[in-house]
Amino acid sequence: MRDSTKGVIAASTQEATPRDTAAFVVLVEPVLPAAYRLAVAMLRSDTEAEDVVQEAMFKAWRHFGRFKDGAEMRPWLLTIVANECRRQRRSQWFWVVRSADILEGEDSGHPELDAGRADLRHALHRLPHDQRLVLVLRYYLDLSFYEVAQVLKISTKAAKSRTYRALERLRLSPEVLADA
Amino acid sequence: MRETEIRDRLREAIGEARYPSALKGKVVERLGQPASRTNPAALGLVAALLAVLIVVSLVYIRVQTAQPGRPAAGPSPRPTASPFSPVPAADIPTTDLAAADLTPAAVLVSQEDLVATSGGRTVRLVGAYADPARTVFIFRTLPAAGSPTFQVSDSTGPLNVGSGGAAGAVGDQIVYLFQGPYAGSDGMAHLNVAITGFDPIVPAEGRPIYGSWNFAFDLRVQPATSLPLPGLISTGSDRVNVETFELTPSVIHFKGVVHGASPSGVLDAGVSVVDGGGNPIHPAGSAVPVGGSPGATRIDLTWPRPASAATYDLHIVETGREYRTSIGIPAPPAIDNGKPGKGHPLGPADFPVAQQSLNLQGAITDHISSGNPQSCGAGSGPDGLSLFAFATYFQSRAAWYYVSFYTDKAVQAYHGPGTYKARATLSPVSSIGPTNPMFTGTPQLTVSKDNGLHQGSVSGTLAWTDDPSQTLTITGTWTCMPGQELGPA
Repeated sequence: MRDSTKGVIAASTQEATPRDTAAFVVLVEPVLPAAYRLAVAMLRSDTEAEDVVQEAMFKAWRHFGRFKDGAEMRPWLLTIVANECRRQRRSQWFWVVRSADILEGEDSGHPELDAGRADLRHALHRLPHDQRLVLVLRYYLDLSFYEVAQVLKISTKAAKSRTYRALERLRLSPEVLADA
Repeated sequence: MRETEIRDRLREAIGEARYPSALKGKVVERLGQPASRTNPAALGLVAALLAVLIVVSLVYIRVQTAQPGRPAAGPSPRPTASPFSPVPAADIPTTDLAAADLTPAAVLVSQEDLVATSGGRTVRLVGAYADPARTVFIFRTLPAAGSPTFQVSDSTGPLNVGSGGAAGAVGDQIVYLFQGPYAGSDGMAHLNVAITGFDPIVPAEGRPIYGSWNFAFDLRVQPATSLPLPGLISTGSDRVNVETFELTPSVIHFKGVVHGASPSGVLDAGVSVVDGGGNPIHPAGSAVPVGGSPGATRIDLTWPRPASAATYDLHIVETGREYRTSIGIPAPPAIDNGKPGKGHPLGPADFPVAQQSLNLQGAITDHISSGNPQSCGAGSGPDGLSLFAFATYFQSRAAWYYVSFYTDKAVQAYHGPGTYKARATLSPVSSIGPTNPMFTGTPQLTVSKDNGLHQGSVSGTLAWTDDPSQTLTITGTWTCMPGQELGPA
């Protein structure tokens, strides 16, 4: 999405009007589902994901002045969400979440499949933040490597390399990674 | 493996997220709020979960550092001297500090970690403090044994001065000398403390406890500030030669010779300190006749320093005439919880009261009918295994304690109300939170209700970490209301 409405949005919330807020929401609304999926996958908690998305959007709103003209809105917002997830993970109390919020795979009726799924889920969440993030962006949000690189603020080549290393740690060694 | 297969497997593993339709509205609402948002719905949960983490962290640290047990018996090692730290000793109960008149000097109390076992009794030196007017030690032993008979030596020899004592939290005994030790040029005193017995001793088997418990360590002698006072004060026919009038981090200290008064007369009314409201401050110290000088009494008195800035008055009254001077006392060093800008650490009273019915037997014998729960609820860690935790502050004989239970997920993950094997700790409370666990154990924790008003019961025995033969049995029921009600009031 190309941003063409920045000019109507005040650069700081102190100057913001209801119209500005509405314009900003219009701008970010298409990204909210992806932002929420990213947060859920990173945090494994519906509640925490909602909080993180709200906070990330607030920070985006406050720092909208830093958004570069011509830049793409989606990677910029997803970067903020990813950073907020990292901050949330680092906060001391995060590791304990309400058990009801923990996302578990549905029971397939095949215990061996469920066990494998659980193993992979646990292995994924034992990955370092950056490696987990690249996998979530690539395979859960279906971003291209170009977009993954934009979110992570690294080169496309580095994004592919990081993806490869993360998959190897999960013993999901790919035959080949697509360019897109 | 092909990317499509990787994608499928990862998506299966993560699971599908259902996008909440209300999220956009919440974002709009959030944009209209200030930056320093407080999420009311999450406040209680955060407080509860933070508490759970703290408890688990403490247990983890304890497990990692305490096994296979603290060194015991034999001469204690001489540790490196503790440098000044603005952070109060985390392992010294506030009850002990108050009993030792050390609350204003809490940040200056040296936390020791010395243990000696002799005659079947384990004694821990919990903390120590010294300034020119006094030397204070906090010992811990179970079963409680009253004031010990002890001898203190510094690098110049034994300190032959008056002493006193007071009881603190469970098993803690405060003893103090009315004199500071000799400090070297580095401000450190090299101390040897030898306990030769306890008084009174009431052993279960009816035989006295013989043993000796020795501690050797370095202790910083905190400096004092001289207070203005003439060297010679005349009140009618009496004269007072002022030798010392100073303010230490813990007390106001006056030392001098009163000519023309008996020791009892001096202590009864002669020299006193009153607060701004005219209320006398209770003194401690001695008044002894000066040998070879009839009618002369040397007094060495201390008065507890207030916990905040204040103006006190010193009164010297002899033969109906009075000398009076004001003492400006600055605020003591502020307690730093190690987190700049984070404010004062939360205390037990910051958490709302809830009904409990817990019976304690053993090292502490009491019935606890109310507490200030700090946390309760279920949660899980990175491994995805759930646990349930309940922790509360409570008071017993004016001392604050903190007891914590959490289900042992290594035995069984929490899956809802029921009875679980739990890990438990009980600690006295310091000025920055619970001390390291004093008792640990694996009681049963029953969760009867884990939504709304959480309820359940506990049953089991905890053991003193320094001597597992000293136990504390805890049984009864607990309640806790998580959410907004839980957390700082």
